[in-house]
Amino acid sequence: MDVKTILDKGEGVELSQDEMLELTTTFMSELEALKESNPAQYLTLVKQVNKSLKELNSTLRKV
Amino acid sequence: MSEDINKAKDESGVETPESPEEIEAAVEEAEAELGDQMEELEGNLQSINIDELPKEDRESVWAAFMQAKDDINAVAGTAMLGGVSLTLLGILQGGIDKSEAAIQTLQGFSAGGVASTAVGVAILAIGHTMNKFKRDQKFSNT
Repeated sequence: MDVKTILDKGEGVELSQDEMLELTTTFMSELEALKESNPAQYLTLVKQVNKSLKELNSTLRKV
Repeated sequence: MSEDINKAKDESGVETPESPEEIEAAVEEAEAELGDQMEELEGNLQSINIDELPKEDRESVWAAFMQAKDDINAVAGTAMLGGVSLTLLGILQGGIDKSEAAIQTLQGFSAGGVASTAVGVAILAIGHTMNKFKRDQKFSNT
């Protein structure tokens, strides 16, 4: 099963270890490509992850 | 594309500097901050005992993770990463074994000096933590 097929199937699809490796590698490649081709958009993504992590930490500190 | 980027900024509330120099400096700063946030997240997760939390607190924590996933997906989707990142997060919700494998795979990239490993690991860590919660049946699958 190639990555496109995996993506077409979407959530809940059962992946083999090799498929998971392929998908994760693609995921990393996309991140790296974005950082090179569009640093502003990559920055927006990193900032959003930071913002989300801050909000998660805030919630966890309250419980 | 620029309209999409602006839309993502509006939706996320995240502002981005304009000049390449400012962006480069901001990327370095943001990537460094990721490490601090992840360290705090791990500490917070270790310090709480899910079994002892009231039901409303468990639901609050789960809702916070769902919100984080949705917010990141919104920005990733606009950045044309939607195909992989959105689906990957979805798949991660389906099994802890897969998310563990994904985390291990990404950690391998750090040895190769891939700078964006930190954000990749952070995104996967959110899905991986959600998988742990689901495995323990402490949170609903909504």
